[in-house]
Amino acid sequence: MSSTSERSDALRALAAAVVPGLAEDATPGAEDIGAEVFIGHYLPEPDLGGLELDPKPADSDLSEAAASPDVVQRLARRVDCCPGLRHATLLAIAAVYSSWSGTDGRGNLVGDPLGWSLAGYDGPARGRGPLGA
Amino acid sequence: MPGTRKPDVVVIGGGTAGMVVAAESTARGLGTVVLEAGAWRHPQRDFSGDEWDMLHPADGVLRWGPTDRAEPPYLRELEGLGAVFQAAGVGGTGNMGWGASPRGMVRSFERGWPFGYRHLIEWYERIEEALPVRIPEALAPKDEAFLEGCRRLGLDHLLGPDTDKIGWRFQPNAILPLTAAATPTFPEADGCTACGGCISGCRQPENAPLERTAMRNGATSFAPGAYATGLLDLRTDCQVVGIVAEPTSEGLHRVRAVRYRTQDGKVIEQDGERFVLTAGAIESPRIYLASGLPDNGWVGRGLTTHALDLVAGVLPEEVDPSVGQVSMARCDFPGFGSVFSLGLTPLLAALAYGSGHGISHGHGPWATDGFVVGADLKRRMEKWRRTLFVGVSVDDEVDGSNGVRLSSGASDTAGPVPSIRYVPTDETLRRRDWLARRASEILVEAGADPASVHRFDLLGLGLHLHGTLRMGGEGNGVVSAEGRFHSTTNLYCADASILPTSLGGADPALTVQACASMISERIAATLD
Repeated sequence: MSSTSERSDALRALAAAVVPGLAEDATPGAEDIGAEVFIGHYLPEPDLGGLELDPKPADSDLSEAAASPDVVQRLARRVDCCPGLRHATLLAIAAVYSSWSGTDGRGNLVGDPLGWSLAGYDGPARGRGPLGA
Repeated sequence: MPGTRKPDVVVIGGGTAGMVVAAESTARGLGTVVLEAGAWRHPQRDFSGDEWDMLHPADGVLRWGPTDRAEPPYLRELEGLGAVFQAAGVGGTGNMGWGASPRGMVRSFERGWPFGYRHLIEWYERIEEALPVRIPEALAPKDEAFLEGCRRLGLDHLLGPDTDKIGWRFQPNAILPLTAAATPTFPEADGCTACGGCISGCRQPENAPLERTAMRNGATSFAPGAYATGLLDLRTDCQVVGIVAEPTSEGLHRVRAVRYRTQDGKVIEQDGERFVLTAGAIESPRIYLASGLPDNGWVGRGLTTHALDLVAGVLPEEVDPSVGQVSMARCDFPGFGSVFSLGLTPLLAALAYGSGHGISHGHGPWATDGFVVGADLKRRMEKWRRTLFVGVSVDDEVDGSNGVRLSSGASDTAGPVPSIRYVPTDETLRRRDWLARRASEILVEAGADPASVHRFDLLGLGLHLHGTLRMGGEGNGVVSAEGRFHSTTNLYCADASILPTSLGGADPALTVQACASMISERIAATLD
């Protein structure tokens, strides 16, 4: 059983690899929004299939390094046969691209979620007129 | 009054099919009890509009689990599938669907079914009117782009509801047509507001009554009418854990009661004259098997899932992939399956990129395939507004080694949990690959940069689940053409479990409801 600290480091490293901050435009990534808390909430004892990721401090240049093709390839080789790794990966993605990343501690939406900004999404279309007319 | 006498019909599961049975039975004057494991939620009050809050498999509003979200979800074991989507609550998975309501492909009824396509037409028409099902009159940009690709490929425009040849069509949809109002609030807005949130539980237009909620399903189209008869006893938070049956002198079994567990842990028996399993293609066989009823070798076997896949390409112009009904256009390829435009919000698109196979399975006209994470995911998501997503739904082969059985180890409050296996056959994979190629061609003809075309090669996605209690003869089926279990005198099944084929790849909801309507009439006839 890994310690809380080791588990948090592993989840932070995984989050940085799955949805990294991009060094060139300083866009934050999963690591920067505390995605490991989110992953830990839904997957408290993740089995990462023996994947070793070097924990990195929250620095966008290093996050980019964590998401190097080599790390991604290691993830890809293991993800089909390790459900825990797949689930943790999808949770890291959801931590950025769901509205969760724009909410406060009570779940209230307080700003544009990070993933919406990254994708240029304005939120659900509301009250549109007839389309294609 | 409900509850004061032995009910004529006891319905196990108040989802897509169960509420059709309830509506049809009560309309014929039959006292009907519906036992539903989840809650009856009102979209305006209980649907938050937050995708994660609604869809999360562990504690989302629409998850498969107790109404109390602090309690864990019901468990299942998976082999070959990355995820299985089931929803508790009145309306069932119809609350997290996208409304696509085509009829089954004509050819798919020529093998395995105890009757042909034409036999089912009157029941299709009945459900199409009741839901109702509408053909879109105006398209969203994503759907226009998809159809432009189909037209440039020279594919025919198919009219009418029958699918018996290759061609494209507007998606028959159980969503009210797009509203022309400038605000999303009822009654100014009356119909779909194009918000793109269908899969997260429709609550549009704002302040709409249940009868005018844009998404039509068991909860919105059938439950209110059944309830209004005064003959429906709808019991929520009641999870059926077993069927109580006694042998008859004819060598069959007669069901006396079902046992269900309430939220506070009490186990109660409910008697009745006729019993109908409508708990879906995973729960219905689980309940039957857990009850120790006879198995002719096909109980739980033959699961089909459409082996769903996804292909995407980046267009020069924005297509706003979340705007509009989730799918408003489709192209059918009888013998192989269907491809269709698919709206995805950023969350669903990003999750799909992370859900592909890690190891590439082959080459095709796509530039890349499989698992996408890291910097590549971010770069693709930056082009999300210009990305056209095309779904792939396969006419997958029936394989008796796929299906549902009881776990030998894990159990939860309902007893042994279902162990679900789905591994596509080589022929299914060949058809899936063929359809992915057609989807790629449509994307390129629609204007996508060929270098941007990506095949997701999704790891088993259990969204459409059918065929685990097959309709057929006693040698190759579990239930008769009337929906009655061959092994019993008064137990029926009327959900997606009974489909002997995967309908050629067509979305199953309409066919399931048409069969449920037909079976309801057969049941009522036995009670005359």
